[in-house]
Amino acid sequence: MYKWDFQVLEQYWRVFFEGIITTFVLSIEVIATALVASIFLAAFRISRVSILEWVGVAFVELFRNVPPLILLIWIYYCVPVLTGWQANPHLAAYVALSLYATAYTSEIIRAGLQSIGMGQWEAGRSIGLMPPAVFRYVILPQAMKRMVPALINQGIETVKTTTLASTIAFAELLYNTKLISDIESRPLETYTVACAMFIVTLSLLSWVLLRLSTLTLGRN
Amino acid sequence: MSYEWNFSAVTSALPILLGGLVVSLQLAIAALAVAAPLGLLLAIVRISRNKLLAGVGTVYVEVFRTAAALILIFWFFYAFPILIGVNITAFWAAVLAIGLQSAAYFSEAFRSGIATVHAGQWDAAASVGLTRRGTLRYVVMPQAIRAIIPVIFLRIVECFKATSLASVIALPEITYQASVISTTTYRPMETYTTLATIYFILLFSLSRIAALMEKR
Repeated sequence: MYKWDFQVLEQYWRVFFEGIITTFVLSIEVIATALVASIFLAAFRISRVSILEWVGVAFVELFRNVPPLILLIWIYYCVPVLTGWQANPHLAAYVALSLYATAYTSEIIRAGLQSIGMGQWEAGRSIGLMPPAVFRYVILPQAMKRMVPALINQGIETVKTTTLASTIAFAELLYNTKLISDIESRPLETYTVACAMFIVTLSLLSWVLLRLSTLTLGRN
Repeated sequence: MSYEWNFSAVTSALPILLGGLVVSLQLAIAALAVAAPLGLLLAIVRISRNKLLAGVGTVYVEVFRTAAALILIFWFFYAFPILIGVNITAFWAAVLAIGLQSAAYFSEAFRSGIATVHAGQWDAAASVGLTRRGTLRYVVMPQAIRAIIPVIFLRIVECFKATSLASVIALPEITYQASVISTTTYRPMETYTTLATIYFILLFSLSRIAALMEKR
């Protein structure tokens, strides 16, 4: 029977901690970028301007149908060959994961907005509201209820994909975990700790955020 | 933009790349063979009236939904063999990591399918004398599965994407083979562009099938 020994890991708490902070920072950067970019992309898709719609569709289909690891590798190893400019691992991961997350996030926003029937627009207009006001007071509150839980899930997915940055030697949580595991030859303890950190943090986070969203927006 | 493309190195290595694709497909199929039945079982367990069973199902889904796939792959490859005292190959470590995680997502898909079946159907089935199990088997599941076929296809797409992660434990699937070709030919541009194109063609086709099913 294997004897667990978590004590050897205690001296590395700083390495784990720095890994968590780096994972957290990259996640926030990617999620924030994806949210902003998605609003534009979703607007493109429902604009009824065919060229903009086409750009939106092409973006989503392109980046949703390539594994994120391949996007990351391509940006890290191929962009320098093409342009002569080498991105550091942080920037490469940020760009690749943002493109990937934007493709998914924009679909959530588009679907959320389009799920509100045309009748709501007409009803809003018929009581004398201008289109921006209909959007702000009639469409958006209803769409938000449907979008926010999906956006929270997507945020969790994004945090998970940041582990891919370890493959290009970006020192986030998984990369640091690998280092510790290699030094101590204690893969069972190190990887279990890293895995548990993800599970505990993300479960708590998703529970709190979903609770907050039902409290503030009401149930769908 | 003065880069001169030269695909000759990649075309001569194409058989290796396609051999990797076969491994990727085998991995995806094996992982799906774990994920789909286990996902169905989890969905049934989660709606059962046995609180303990339902709780176990919920915890399983929560754990595998929040653990990063890449960490799971490392865990099953480096940590799991120590735990059980048996060595497992990179292939089976990846099957377990991707399959068990995918099962959590499959269970959510099945559960949403079951939820689309109107509660009146349960009552109607009970009134003609069907047991709870019979109702699930003959009334609810046939409708539920039909409702979620597009979602199942999207889960297959995600599962296939996840197989690329197995390259980190040196499983010779297509991404790993591409990285080998790239380092031996010094042609990352052509190799990885070919790799991305192969993935795109496969995954885009699957997504289109899912979209068509949704329209029907």
